[in-house]
Amino acid sequence: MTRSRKMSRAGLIVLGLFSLSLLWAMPASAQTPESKALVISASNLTADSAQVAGAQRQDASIARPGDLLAYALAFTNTTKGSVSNVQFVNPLPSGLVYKASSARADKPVRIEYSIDGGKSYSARPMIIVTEAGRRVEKPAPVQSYSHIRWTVAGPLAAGAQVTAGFEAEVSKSAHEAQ
Amino acid sequence: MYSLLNRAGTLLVVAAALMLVTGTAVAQTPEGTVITNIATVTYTDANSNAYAPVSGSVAVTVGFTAGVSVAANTPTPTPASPSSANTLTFTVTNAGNGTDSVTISQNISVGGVITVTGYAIGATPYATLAALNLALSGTAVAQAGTVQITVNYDVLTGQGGVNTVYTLTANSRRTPAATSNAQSSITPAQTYAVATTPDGAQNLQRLPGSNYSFTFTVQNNGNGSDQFDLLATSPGSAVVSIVSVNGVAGDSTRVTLAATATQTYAVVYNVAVVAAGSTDTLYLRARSVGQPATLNDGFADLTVVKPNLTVTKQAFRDDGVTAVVGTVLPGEFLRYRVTITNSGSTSATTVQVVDALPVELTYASSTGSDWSFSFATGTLTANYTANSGILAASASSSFVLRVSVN
Repeated sequence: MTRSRKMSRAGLIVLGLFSLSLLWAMPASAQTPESKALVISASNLTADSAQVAGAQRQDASIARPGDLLAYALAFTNTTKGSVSNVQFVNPLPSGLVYKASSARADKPVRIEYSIDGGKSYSARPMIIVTEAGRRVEKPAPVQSYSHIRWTVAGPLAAGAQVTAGFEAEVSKSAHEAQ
Repeated sequence: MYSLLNRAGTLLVVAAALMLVTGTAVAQTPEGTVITNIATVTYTDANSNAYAPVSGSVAVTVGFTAGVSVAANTPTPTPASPSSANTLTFTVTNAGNGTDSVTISQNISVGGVITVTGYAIGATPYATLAALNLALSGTAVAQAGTVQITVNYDVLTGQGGVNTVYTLTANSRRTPAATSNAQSSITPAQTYAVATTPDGAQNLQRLPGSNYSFTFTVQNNGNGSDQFDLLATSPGSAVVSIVSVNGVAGDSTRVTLAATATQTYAVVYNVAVVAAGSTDTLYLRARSVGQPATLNDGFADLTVVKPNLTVTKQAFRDDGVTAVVGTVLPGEFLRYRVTITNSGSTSATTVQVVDALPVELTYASSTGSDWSFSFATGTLTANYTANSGILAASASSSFVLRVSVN
């Protein structure tokens, strides 16, 4: 059981106990995040580099199989107080293959991945394969990554922003997608 | 980590599935697919109160990437030469991520081997490449879809063993374009056959001598260019010895003949000094280098010939018709008829008769239209001059020598 799961379970208990009062008592500005609290943007690195090289793509607004996309997940603390335990979870949609070691953030974070649909996370998911009759533990291929999770260390002051990001390739093969 | 390892059984299945995927060629993410990336952020406040998760999303639409793959289904055909109604088939696969159509072009590396006679898409024939492309322009091929293209061709005569490569190139019609090609390496099957003539019946008659030449004719009856070893022999006896073959010293050489080509080759030989009537056979064997079991011999019969001269001398009285019988008297003129007969099997040249008169006789004159004469120091020299000095086989000639008795 990871620390985050413990915390989220505690949060659910609190929410269960005080749900009614919370729903009514919390100021709208504090309890209901602004719609812009999380802004996700995508850029096509492959198309951009082609443009820089002078070979502007006519269809740069769309992605082709094999293109490398960069995603930025910008979370702004729109509450009036400091928040903690900020955690981004990004399931990788079908059609994207995570680029190894591309996940990052502009603040200290713990980055983990899931290869089982978000049930469990690890900084370096491993699998066991059989090679020459022996079971060998190996790093899971990035094609098997299903989720990315960023857990921000420390509190985030009101109005502050933390941006997580990763890069992924538009899969060349339908089976590359998860 | 530990929880992952505890799920080893499940993960093994995952790994096996991934390995299967790695080895399987599958289509790309289809054009028009919208990839929506949704992320969620959870957080708590300073008192660990959980707040409603916030989500965001961004959608990316997958555009078109062309991809064409061509496979030759008949990569190394070996049709007969000549032959007709041969086919090559190619499978053109749309390896892009959206519907596309293709244009076909072709290249034939070596001309003159095959003639393309038509095309087909599936079972529908098209007479020309332009007609094929016109049809293909209206043939939408879905992602991962295929089009089977048949190329009909004839093989020309005499092309056995000649390789030519037919390349079919498919270009996608959409932008950005993609291209691919595949090749069929066509090598018409080669047949081997050779004929060497003549086959005897020449009855060559040769004097002992050097550097005789006999010409054989060799024909490549195969359907492709071939090399031939020309091997001259004279196995019958020690009469004939080989000097050169086709100008190359020794009893063999190697030549190249195009399909169906005919060429003559001279064999130079010597005839040993042996008895007239000796026989031998001059062989020339043409043996295929491409298929050594294919060979053919030509041969010429040869008989050694020689002239054989005999001389008869008859004595007549001065009237030239009365044979001398009994005695002759001093002062009497006599006529000797000298007859040269060639009883050999070939003509004699430079026939010369030398007649040293005995001291009892005095030379008077000599007559004979076929001869020229000179007399000196008691010796008559007669040279045969008729027929350019050649006394043919079985021919004879005579002259008359008139002398007086001392």
